[in-house]
Amino acid sequence: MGMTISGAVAVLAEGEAGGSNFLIPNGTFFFILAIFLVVFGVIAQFVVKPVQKVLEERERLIAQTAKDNRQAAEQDAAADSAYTQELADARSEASSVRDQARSQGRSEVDGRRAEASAEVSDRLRQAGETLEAEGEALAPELNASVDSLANTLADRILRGGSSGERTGQ
Amino acid sequence: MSMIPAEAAIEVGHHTTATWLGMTVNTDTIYSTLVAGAVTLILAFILRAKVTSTGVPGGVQLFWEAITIQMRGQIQSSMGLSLAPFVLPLSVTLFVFILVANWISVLPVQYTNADGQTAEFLKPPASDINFVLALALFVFICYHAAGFKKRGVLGYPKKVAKGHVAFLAPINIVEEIAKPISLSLRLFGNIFAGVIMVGLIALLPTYIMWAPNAIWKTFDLFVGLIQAFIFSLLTILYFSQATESEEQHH
Repeated sequence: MGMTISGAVAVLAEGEAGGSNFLIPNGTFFFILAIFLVVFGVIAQFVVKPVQKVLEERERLIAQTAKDNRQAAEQDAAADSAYTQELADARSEASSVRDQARSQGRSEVDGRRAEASAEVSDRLRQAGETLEAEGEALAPELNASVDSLANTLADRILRGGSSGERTGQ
Repeated sequence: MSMIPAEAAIEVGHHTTATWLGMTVNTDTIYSTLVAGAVTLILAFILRAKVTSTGVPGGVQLFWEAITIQMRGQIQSSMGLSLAPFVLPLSVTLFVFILVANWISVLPVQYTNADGQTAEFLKPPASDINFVLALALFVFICYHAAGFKKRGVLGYPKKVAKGHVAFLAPINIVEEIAKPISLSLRLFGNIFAGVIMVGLIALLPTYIMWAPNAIWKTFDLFVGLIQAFIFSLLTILYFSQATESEEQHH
């Protein structure tokens, strides 16, 4: 039944008596409740459950990704420190090799130098000895000839100084 | 009625009725509810068919996810997640079902019936007291059942009456009775008022009627959203009040 605003109050009062008041629920209640329960069941089963599963799965994926990231960062840091360690080891090894080579080279140079100087002094001594020996060998001979030479010289000086130059030639 | 011109007549709470299973039923409300339920179910089955956790979620899935996350947050902040397996689907269903039911009336399908009265082709079901009572009483029974389950047959009524302070027992009992009434009539009043507004606007001359009608329908969208949200939020709050622990003081 239709009502106007002016008639509404009267109809409301009438409805309370007659049972057609639109504020009093009727059989529609049960049909609405049934429709709602069907929708409720479908949403609980086919919407909220899968959506919650999706949300959980997504959270799991996010946690997994964060964990993977952390692991990767850890591995990266480990590789980095291993690389640094390796590099430091190689550096120290290289410097020790260099030092060793340097000291070896120096000792070799020293050895050669000592050898050479020994040889030089040896040669000098030999040469000295040779000279001395030759000197000594020549000395008596020269000493012997000194007398005759002196006599000859003295003769020439005494015989004539003018012809002495020619004699000296 | 004869004092008022035919075109100025406004229907208040008129329903087309029939007798089903020996009961008087408002067929217009039931048809609108069926449409709302069908839209909700279609959205549900689209999600069911396309739901994905690793791919890119579609619009329907984002819609359901947003509501589920929002409701789960509300439940978590007010009562913890112990009752969530029941309350979460209930609040999600109430929100979407009431939202769709309210937004049905945004379709500007109005006609003038034989009596010269403006009627809407699809009335919002919440403008029928049966719709709001069915939902509110279902919620009422469910949260009291949850309370009885948590506190026992004798402990729960005692807790409800006593509340936090014993001398406020009469007020607590009145409050408990008021809960389903306010829950249902708040929704009913808002949506029913929207229907009356449409009827009033229909009294304007046709050349100007479209403007307030468009403005009102837009505002009605907002009202419908807010009312759907309030209904589901209060459902969660009533559940949390019925099942709260002794040590929780608000």
